[in-house]
Amino acid sequence: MQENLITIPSFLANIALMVLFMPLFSFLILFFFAKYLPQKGDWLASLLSGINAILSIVLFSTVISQQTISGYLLRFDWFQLGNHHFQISFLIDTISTIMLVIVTFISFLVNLYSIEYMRGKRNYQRYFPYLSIFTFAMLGIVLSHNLLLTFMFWELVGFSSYLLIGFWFDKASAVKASKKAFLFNRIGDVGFLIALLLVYNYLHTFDLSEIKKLLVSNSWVTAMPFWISLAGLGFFAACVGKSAQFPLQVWLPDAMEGPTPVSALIHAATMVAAGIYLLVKVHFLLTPEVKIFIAFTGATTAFIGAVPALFQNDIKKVLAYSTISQLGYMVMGMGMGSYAPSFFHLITHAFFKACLFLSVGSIIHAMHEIKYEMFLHKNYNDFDLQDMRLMGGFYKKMPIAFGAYLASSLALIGVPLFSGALSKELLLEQSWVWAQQQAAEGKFVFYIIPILAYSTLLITCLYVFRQLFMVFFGTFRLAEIDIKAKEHFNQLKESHWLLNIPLILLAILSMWWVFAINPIDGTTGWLMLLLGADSFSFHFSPVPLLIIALGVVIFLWRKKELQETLYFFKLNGHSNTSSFLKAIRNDWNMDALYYHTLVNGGFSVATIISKIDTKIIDPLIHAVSVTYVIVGHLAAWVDKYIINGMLHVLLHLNSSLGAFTRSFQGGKVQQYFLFVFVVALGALAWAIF
Amino acid sequence: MDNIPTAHFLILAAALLAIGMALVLVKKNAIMVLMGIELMLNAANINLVAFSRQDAHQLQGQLMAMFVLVVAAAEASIALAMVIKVFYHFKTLDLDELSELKG
Amino acid sequence: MVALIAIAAIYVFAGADFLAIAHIMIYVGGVLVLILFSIMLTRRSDHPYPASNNRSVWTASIITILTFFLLCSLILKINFSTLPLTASPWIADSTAQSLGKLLMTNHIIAFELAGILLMVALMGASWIATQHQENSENTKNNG
Repeated sequence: MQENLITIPSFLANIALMVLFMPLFSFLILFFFAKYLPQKGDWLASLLSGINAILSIVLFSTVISQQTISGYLLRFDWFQLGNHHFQISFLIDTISTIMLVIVTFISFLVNLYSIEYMRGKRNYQRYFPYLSIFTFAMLGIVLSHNLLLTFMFWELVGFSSYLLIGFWFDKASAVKASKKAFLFNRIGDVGFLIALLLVYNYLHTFDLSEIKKLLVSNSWVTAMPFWISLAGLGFFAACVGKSAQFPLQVWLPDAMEGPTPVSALIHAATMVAAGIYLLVKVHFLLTPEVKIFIAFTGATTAFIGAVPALFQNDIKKVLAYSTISQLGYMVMGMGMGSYAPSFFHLITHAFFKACLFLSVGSIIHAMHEIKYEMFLHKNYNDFDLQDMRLMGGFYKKMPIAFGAYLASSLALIGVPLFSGALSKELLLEQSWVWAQQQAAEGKFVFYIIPILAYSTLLITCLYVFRQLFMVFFGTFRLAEIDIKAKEHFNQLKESHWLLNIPLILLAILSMWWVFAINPIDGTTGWLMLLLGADSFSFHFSPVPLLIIALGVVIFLWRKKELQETLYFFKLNGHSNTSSFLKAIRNDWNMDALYYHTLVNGGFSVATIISKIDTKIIDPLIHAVSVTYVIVGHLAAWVDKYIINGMLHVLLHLNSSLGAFTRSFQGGKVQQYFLFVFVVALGALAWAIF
Repeated sequence: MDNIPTAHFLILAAALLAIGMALVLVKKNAIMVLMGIELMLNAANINLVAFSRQDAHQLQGQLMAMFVLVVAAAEASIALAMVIKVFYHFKTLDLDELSELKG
Repeated sequence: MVALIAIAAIYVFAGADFLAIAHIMIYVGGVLVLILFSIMLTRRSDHPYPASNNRSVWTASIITILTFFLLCSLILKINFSTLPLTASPWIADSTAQSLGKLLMTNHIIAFELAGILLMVALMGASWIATQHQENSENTKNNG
């Protein structure tokens, strides 16, 4: 891709800066004044994010209407350290404006959705400022064209994600999940930091376009020294942390402790995509070896993310695992060098996954209503709102949520006529082509990647249908344990329009015609043309379709088993399944593994250190302290008898002097007169004699 | 009349001053102390008048005595007002008891 | 009073007749009346009037007698006869005229200042002597 950047016209710069700083403004206002605003300022957050979405679309249309240039660069001085000049630079090109539109648009919908979803919840006034600060940080990552600035926003994103996962901070599991997410993100961020230092050490700049220029001009691209690989790995580590790739993916399912709209915005559509976006931005730094590594990691993540989703009973965790799996697809695409299909998948995924989360959120909201009604009618019985085993039959009660879920889940699988199909088939096709290319050089091991990718497709198909049937079809199973829940379920109505409008909009955006006219061939779509699809030749293959059909067949064949016996459906918790399946369900037992290796390892290191402490450092300190005590005694003696004695003498002198002078101040007028006369007499006598 | 020596005037003034001093030092009543002060002022005045005889054209001593008189009158009025005030406040004029400013 | 009139007589002897008259008018007519009034105002039947003398009689007498004798010795040491006694021709006349002229010419500023001083003293004395009932109560409340 030939770079052709020009300095930005001022009105575009103003719009871009407005888009960037609007959420910050919203955050500041809501954070300090939300208490005083009507409805705690939720309408303000939605209004500002809506304006932001419109401005982003304006920016986007301006950029894509330009034929000759690929983007606008906004650059100004930041600060100076010695001879090192640092600049702030923002890039406004096709990719960043597309991301801009996605972030602001989904943020707007989520704000709107949250008004109803979060109504009456604790700390309502703190929710919207947190969303705003997240949006600000995310827009910063999107627009920034300077790695240092990106890093700062990157950390801010991690922090706001921490705040939002732990939003219900009085719930112990939420606090734990937020800490976990934060720590796992830090591991990746260390990689980012190392990469930053490497890049600055060799190239003396953080500006991405300059890095690119330097790399090309010094023919480092062909030589590819070791440090470039290392930096590429560092950036990839950051991506692994943020985008929940293997082996750091374990934080994402726990992050579902946050409110559902937050999960939709952050842990499905935008933040987890930041890692992919970073790879898109620094792709010229990735050496072939690193790319292979990335591709394998992505494919592995796609597969091992998808399998646990089959076994989850928590409605949100299924989606969390599917997010991991889809992100794995994108990373795999990045590794294969097909940035455009990856990015395309990122976009479609953002929309359909947000839609999935929001429709599931509607179901949870309905469950909450039922629980609340039961609580009001005095037959309160605690149950898990997100447990799919208690749901069922929602399709009649909530047709809009059902429709949205159906559309987006089909998009998730990749059924033609839905957006996911366009991007996913491109990726699958590419993986096959890439493996063939590599195999031509004798590396047959690369066939693992397409195999993993295609089998993931099958698993995706299974877990999506499983969730679809468990939630929307069948009977309402909560009524089977608690007969009183039945009447409340029957009284359930379609949810509030604030919940439904985002659902409808996102469901529409999960359709194929938004991105391409041809429902099978994504490369003919406008988006792929913008991203440079002409470098691909797309051959339609029926394999994915066959796999999907196979999945449906398997599902219908083993429907009962899938839903009940194998998957821990028994409500009494009894199960005779093998420990292997249990391990898979618990995310391949990776949590336990991490616990044993990292936490216990940490403890043993700490034990060793403490032994060193007691055996070596303590005696040393003890000796030093004994010396100090002796010196101190000496000093105390000197103090007591010499310095104190001097002080006492001074004290006595002072007090007697004071008493003496005080005696003159008798308070009697005549005494004063007496003194005056005596002095006058003395003066007289002196004058005479 | 012209023959009275200046020294006599001065000795008289000295006596008056001594009496005023004695009054100021001895008396307990604040009013009496004030009267002693008046006597001392008058002693000074006598001195001024006596020396003014040496300067018959200018009469500077007498003028000065005039001003001393004026100031003494002002002082007396203020001081007596204060004495009354003090009396209302402390219910006594005993200078031994008026020792608020004792250090 | 006798002492004051006697001082006036001394003034006359010293050739200062106007001053003597002024002295009698100010002291006898003004200050004495003031002193009498204040004695009357401060005398209370229920409160024993302060004993006239306090304890420092001996120190006081020593100091005063010492002062007197020192001054006397000083005065007697000086030979005043060396100073010319300007017996002016109009010494028998009243000095009132010349004093008035001097006051209005050479010493006009001091004269005016003395007037202002008197006025301020008058106002101040009356202000001090009035009982500021509200004020004192306020201070009490504040305190």
